Amino acid sequence: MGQPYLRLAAAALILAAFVLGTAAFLVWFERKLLGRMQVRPGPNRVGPGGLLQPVADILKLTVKEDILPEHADRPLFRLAPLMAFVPAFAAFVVLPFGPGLVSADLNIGLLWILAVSTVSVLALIAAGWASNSKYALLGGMRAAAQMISYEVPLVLSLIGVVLAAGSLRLGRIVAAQAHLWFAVPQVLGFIVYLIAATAESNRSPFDLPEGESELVAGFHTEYSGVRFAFFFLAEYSYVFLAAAIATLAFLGGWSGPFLPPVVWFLVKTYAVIFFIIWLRATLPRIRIDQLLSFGWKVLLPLSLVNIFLVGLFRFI
Amino acid sequence: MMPDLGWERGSDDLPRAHLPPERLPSGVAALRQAGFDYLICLSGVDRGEARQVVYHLRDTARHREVALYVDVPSRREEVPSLTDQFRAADWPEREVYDLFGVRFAGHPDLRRILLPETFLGHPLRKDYREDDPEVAPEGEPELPAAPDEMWINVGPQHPSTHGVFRMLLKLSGETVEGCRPCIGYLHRGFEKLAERRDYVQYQPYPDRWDYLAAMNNEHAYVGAVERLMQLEVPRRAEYLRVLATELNRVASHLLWLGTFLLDLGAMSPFLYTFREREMIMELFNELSGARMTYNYLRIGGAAHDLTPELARQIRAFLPYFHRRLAEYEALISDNEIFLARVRGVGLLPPDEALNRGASGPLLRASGVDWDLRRDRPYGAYPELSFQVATASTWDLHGRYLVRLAEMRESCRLVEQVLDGLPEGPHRAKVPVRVRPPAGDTYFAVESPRGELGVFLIGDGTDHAWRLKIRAPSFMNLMSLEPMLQGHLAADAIAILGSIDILLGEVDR
Amino acid sequence: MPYFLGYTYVAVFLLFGILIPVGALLANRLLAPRHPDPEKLQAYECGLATPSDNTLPYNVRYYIFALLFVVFDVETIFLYPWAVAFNRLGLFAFVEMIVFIGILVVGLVYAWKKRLLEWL
Repeated sequence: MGQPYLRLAAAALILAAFVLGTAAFLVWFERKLLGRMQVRPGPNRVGPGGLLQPVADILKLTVKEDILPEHADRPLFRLAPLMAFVPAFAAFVVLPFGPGLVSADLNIGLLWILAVSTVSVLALIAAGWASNSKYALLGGMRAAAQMISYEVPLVLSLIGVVLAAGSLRLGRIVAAQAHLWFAVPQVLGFIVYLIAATAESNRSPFDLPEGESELVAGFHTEYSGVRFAFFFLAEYSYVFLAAAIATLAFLGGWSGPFLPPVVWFLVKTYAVIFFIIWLRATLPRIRIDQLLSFGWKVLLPLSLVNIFLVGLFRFI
Repeated sequence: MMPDLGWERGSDDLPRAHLPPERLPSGVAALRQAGFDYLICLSGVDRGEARQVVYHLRDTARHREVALYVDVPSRREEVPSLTDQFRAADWPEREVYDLFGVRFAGHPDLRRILLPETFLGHPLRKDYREDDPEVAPEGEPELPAAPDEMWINVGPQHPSTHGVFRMLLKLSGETVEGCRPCIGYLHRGFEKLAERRDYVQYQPYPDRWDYLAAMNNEHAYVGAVERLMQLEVPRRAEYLRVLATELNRVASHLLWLGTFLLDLGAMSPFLYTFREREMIMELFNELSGARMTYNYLRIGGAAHDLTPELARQIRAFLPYFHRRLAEYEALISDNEIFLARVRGVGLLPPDEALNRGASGPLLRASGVDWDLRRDRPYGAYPELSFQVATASTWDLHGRYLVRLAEMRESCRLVEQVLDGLPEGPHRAKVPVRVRPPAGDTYFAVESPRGELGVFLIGDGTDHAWRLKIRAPSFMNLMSLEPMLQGHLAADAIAILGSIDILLGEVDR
Repeated sequence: MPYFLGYTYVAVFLLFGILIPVGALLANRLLAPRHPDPEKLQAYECGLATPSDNTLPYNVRYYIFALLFVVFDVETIFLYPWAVAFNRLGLFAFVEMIVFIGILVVGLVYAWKKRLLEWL
């Protein structure tokens, strides 16, 4: 009787550990990778090869004083990091790591992830507003404009995949790529997706909201300690999520010879993550007006063209 | 061609004229008519009985320079402002007001510039009581803003202001409508210090003006002193000076490149350029004993000679560096995002640039073909061949290309020096007590940031009477506001970065 | 997986998602020092007091983009079910959807021409 609920508890706990672990691991992965690309070692003191660095960082952030800026909108200020993290975590419920290796393969799988990750936009706006700081406000506004502008091409680029697979269920989408990964016929959609996903996660070259060199730290200027940690973890969770969707939707998910499916899934996901980090190491930042212009005038039309082409080819 | 203002030849062979304050504006207007389009330097001097303002002007096209001396009346210390004729007079006049107390009639905004606005007293005056400084607590400026505008504070603590610099930006949404730079955070009183040390004791100080191009500062200083002394520097020493200053140019531009790209969001080149800088600093360490404040160029020559071993190391560095430069170009120059960020941004038309006293890569990227090494040669430069890089786009892209080209040319110069290094002493025989005859001289070098000049007034003793530092960053910074107009906040940082200021010499 | 069980998973995950940060904040409450100080509580402005008021009306440009976003997001709401059912629908449905998208593209082009897609 309790069997399905046992599975539920196990899945929730495992995923909780996985998400936190992955986010922490990605912190190390990015810093190490960036370091190597920049001719420097990256973290190498804490733990073997610096692997425990994120642990040290999280511990440090946990014991820092919780500073609430005066005149800040307290409830909103407190809520914002949760608004950023909770959706990221909730999206993992439909993520399959292998055939049948999923917590809940909802029939609206893909849509669930997209819908839930949009909530994070609210978190940025809330953070910027609630901080009562000019820098944070500007950062929050920019973030909002950026994210809604790239939300549309992101969502549209995945329609081609849904068209080809005939389902929103992630397991079905992977199965539909048994003969050919969708990245091949839908290369346009794949490219649009990668660019839009990078913009959605506020990653360089689209990291205006964090605008390190311009507005200090953008929307999270006033956040410190644990609250900041959750923005940070949320961002890395999204990176993993975006890469995972790219893998599932375009790169055949867990398919591959010899190695167990989970391994393939992780390998492909990390390959995409590597690419995203590589972008950060290489490219300068795009300016807000150029970014919006690019999103609406280039990416959006391209994603529509992609849908048209995929639809058309179904009839030929 | 030249208006008759009563010219005489100064001790440094520069035509000079003494003008009463009332005749200053018309005299300058006449000179401008005659082609003098550049205000090089505006200095305050305290002659003891009264103050004096000295103006150095240049005719860029015909390579002529003159100096105007205006005695400030003692009863009411005021002189007409030249800001309506030369925008380049703006900040220097404020500085003279700040440090000497001389007022400039007609100046749009005569406030203190280096010292806090609530400071009392004028430190560079000879009657200033140093043991009894007067300071009042600082307040905050009044900042008028329309309802849809807001003032944002950038600096003095900011990841990208390249030093302790503060600018107040007036934003309307994302667009910059106005800018109010605030400097003086790094003011250390170098000009006053020069009056308190003898010429030999002062030698380590110039390193600290523009500490990224220290060799150039030293060159400007010792060059001025040698002019006053009419001292002949051995050829070998002049070649060593070129070696030092050109390598320094490369190091300085490397740092600029890394930080400029960092401002634009590209993090990695910063680390690559520092790798090369590290090598240059090691070379300098071998040469002079220090990595940043070298104290290498001395009155009469250079402190140490170049060893064959070090020459070999420098030679080995050059081809390595050329390969790296090619890598940077491959990585950056054609990058779409980079080009979108720098093309058409921060335009500074040539006539604006000249009128505001810009120099160096900033001026050359605005299309003005002027380089002191070629057009006002000094040291060993007449014997060496090199190209002067200019750009015709007037924007950030142009400044990037100019500095990249300058790095290449500097390497060529270093090679020529190593190939053609003459034999001989690396330093002239200089008396223990350096006591140049009384006189005034202006000596300038082309530093990585522009025209770095020293206006030195000696009174026949072993202490300088007045040392005025014509800092390129100070003058170039006056071009910031027009370049920012109408741009987005994101560009403000990039534009500031493209000027390549160094606060050490802005504030002195 | 039965329908409701799937959403029970979702509910539990949401709960966990809330519990984890709350837990961390609790840990922070227990472990971190608390010494409020007026200087610390001030908003950051490069080391100096803020020159002007902190909450200001923002650019209307954001509104335009939000509006466009809503329009196109609603479009995607229609596109998703269509995409799922695509293989069972005929050519007619395809053409119909293309017409629908086309109408919205006309709107986009209009906004483009009217310079609404520029930031300034």
